[in-house]
Order: sequence, then structure tokens, then C-alpha cells
Amino acid sequence: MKSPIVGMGELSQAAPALGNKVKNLAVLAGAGVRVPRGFGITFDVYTETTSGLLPAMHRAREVSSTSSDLAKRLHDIVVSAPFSQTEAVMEGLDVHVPGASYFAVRSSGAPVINGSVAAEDSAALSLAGQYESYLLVPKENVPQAILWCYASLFAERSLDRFKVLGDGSYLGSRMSVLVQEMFVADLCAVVMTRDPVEGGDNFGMEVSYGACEALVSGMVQGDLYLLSRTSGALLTAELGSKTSRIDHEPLVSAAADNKIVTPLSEEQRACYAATQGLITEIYRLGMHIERIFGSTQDIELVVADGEIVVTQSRPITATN
Amino acid sequence: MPVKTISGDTWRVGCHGNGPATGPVVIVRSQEDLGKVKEGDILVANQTDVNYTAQMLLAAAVVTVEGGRYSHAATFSRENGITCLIGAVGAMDELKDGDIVTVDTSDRTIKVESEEEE
Repeated sequence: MKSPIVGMGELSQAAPALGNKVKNLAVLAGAGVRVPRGFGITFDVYTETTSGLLPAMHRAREVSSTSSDLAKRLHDIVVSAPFSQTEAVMEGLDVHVPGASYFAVRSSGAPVINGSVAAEDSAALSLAGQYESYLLVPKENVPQAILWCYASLFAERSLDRFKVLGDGSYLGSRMSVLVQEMFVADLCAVVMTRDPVEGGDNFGMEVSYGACEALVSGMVQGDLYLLSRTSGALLTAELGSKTSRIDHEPLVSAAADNKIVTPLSEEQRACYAATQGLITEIYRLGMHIERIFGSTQDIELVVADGEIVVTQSRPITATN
Repeated sequence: MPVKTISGDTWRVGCHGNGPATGPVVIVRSQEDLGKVKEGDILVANQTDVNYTAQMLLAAAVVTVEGGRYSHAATFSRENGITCLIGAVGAMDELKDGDIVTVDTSDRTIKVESEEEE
């Protein structure tokens, strides 16, 4: 097996061994955009870790009558897998992310559906949120969190969506994992370099307080800004509800929900979360990222200690 | 003429879909309610996540009380051409299961065509 750990700087060359989510961030890092320091763990590590489990996984499918039943069995099989890369991962943390104490451990799945592999966050298939990410993971728990990511391939929602009870080929799905330095977000934004809702030539962004999860999950409504794609002029600003923010406490177990939801004050809700300066900065960065990839992008970013850090970029999947 | 029309300042378009969508309301307060959703229903929820996708695909329209233009509900609706309003504060209180409504993204309203008997 080639090196199972691939640092951000080397990632673009290793792209086929990792998912699109990882590859896109690597491309950005290579182009000088600020992304969290980190490394990818190749699909080969998943295969090595789970290949011995496949007979048991197939047997579990044969004896399960519901997705829920099968999900429980597969979870138990996968999380107890012997993980041979613990040392390599711990070394990767020291080499690629020196000085960091907490990490984001993110799944990048390549599900097999009806016998063929689908790439996560490809233009054709949205797997946004399909597989788990673990945030604020203490260093010593990172290897365990990688197994939790693997197990999330077989969560009930995926077994249902991909009709795994009737399609055993899904058990050949694979996963690469991205381990990143964790940033504690003061502000978060979801950016669409071409707003897909109205079909005009607008640049859109939704901004709120705390971690991006609040925006993506729809727990809160962020402030919405639409700008001219050509000039960057602000066309529309609509105040969002911003009822609360999400932060995290250190994650110690996969079952524990480490989200902290804090209601926001009337003052915070009544004013816009972003300054005009920040809006302009995000617009310029977004258009820069679009030029790097050569296509319109759906970007998640955080503002931490006054600095913009891009945590995800993918093609916009569909327009209205 | 509709019985009543509801809307609000925070109501936004998640996806125009195939235009105004009419059908019976089904209120989904938690995942346990997902089993109530049938083809052609108007799915009304606080927010949605990946666990809601099968039922969203059945629905004629999706309405969420929370969430913004780039939330899961809006994005999934857009990817699948489902009419969707988000940030529809008040929709859960004003509507009840079985009300026949039209979700209209052109003016960000829900028009109640007929109310289910209590």
C-alpha cells in the first residue's frame, strides 16, 4: 500500500486515492487559499481495515429484515475493526498539524450503488450530509473517530436511501477520511458564487454566528446577501432569524452529541452578523475560488480570530 | 378564493420547483411523523435533514419554519425540483394536518384553500 496518509500539500497528486471533498481543499491549499491544515486517509486504508469483515457484513445483510436491524449489525462490525494505522495517524497529526489539540474528522464516501461507484459531491449526486463528520475531536480520539466515519457508511439512512437490503453491492462502498485542524468559528457563511435559486447573475451568501452546521442544517436562518457577480455591488440584504448558534464541546464518544446550542441575544439577532468589509472580502474570495475550479462553487467558510478559513468547496449541484 | 393567506418577513424561496403546488398539509414535528407523509402532500416541518429525504421526494412542496436559502431543505429541494419555502415562521401554528393549501413561491405565501374540520 502506498502511504496511507497524504498531507495537504501533496494531496492534488493523490486525488484518486481520496474523495472529492479532500481533493477540492487540496487544490485550494495549492492555490494559496487559507484552508485548515490537515491530511487525508486514503480509500486503501478503508479497504485494508474492512476487507476481512466483508463475509460477516454480507451475512449480516442476509439475516436482517429491516434497514434498522442491518444498520445496528454493521455498525458493531465496523467500529470494532482492528485499525492498523493508529501510529501512522498519530504521526500524521504531529507532522501535518503540529501544535493543534482538536480536530475535525470528516467522511468522504464513495458508495457503490447497483454495482457502480458514485463519487461524493460530484455534480451528479449530492451526498451532502449523508455521512458523518466529527468535530472538536481530541487528538487521542482521532483514530477511533476514523472508524466512526467508516461506520457511518452503514447508518440506517444510507441503507434506506440506497436500498441496501436489496443491493449487496453497496457493502463494497469505500471511504476516505479528512482530518483537519479544528477552527472555532466566530462567524460562518455558506456562499454560492452564482445564486442557484433565482437564476440571475447574482453572488449569494448566508451568514450567521458560530459553526456552519447551524446554517447547513437549517436550524437558523442566516442573514442573506445577494451581490452583483460582475461588480460585487450589494443588491439585497435580508436580516435572518439567527435564533441561536452552534458550538462544540470536546467529543469523547460517537454516541455523544457534542453540540452546544446557545440562544442569541435580541441585539445580535437585530443586527447583521457581517460588516460590509467582510462581505466584500468573501465576495472576492468566492470569485477567486470559482476561477480556480472553473465552475460556480458552493463554499462553506468560517471566520476565526478575524481570518477567513475555507472548510469546503464543491460545484453547485443543480440550479432552479 | 382562499380562506386565508399567510406569509411573513422571514419567508424566503428555497426552490421554485414547478411553480405553485397544491395539496393537503402534513405537519412533521419529529422523525416519528415522517410516516404520515403521502405522495402529493405539503410537508411542513421546523427543519429537515438527510433523514427526511425519502418523504421530501414524495411531497408536492416542502415548507420549513427555520432555515435559510442555502439550508438542507432548500438545497435538497432545488436538486430535486421540489417547490420549497423556508423561514416560514408561523406556518406550523397556522396550518394543521389535512388543510388544503397552495404554496406559492412567486409571492412567498401559503394560501389556505380549505380547512380540515377540527
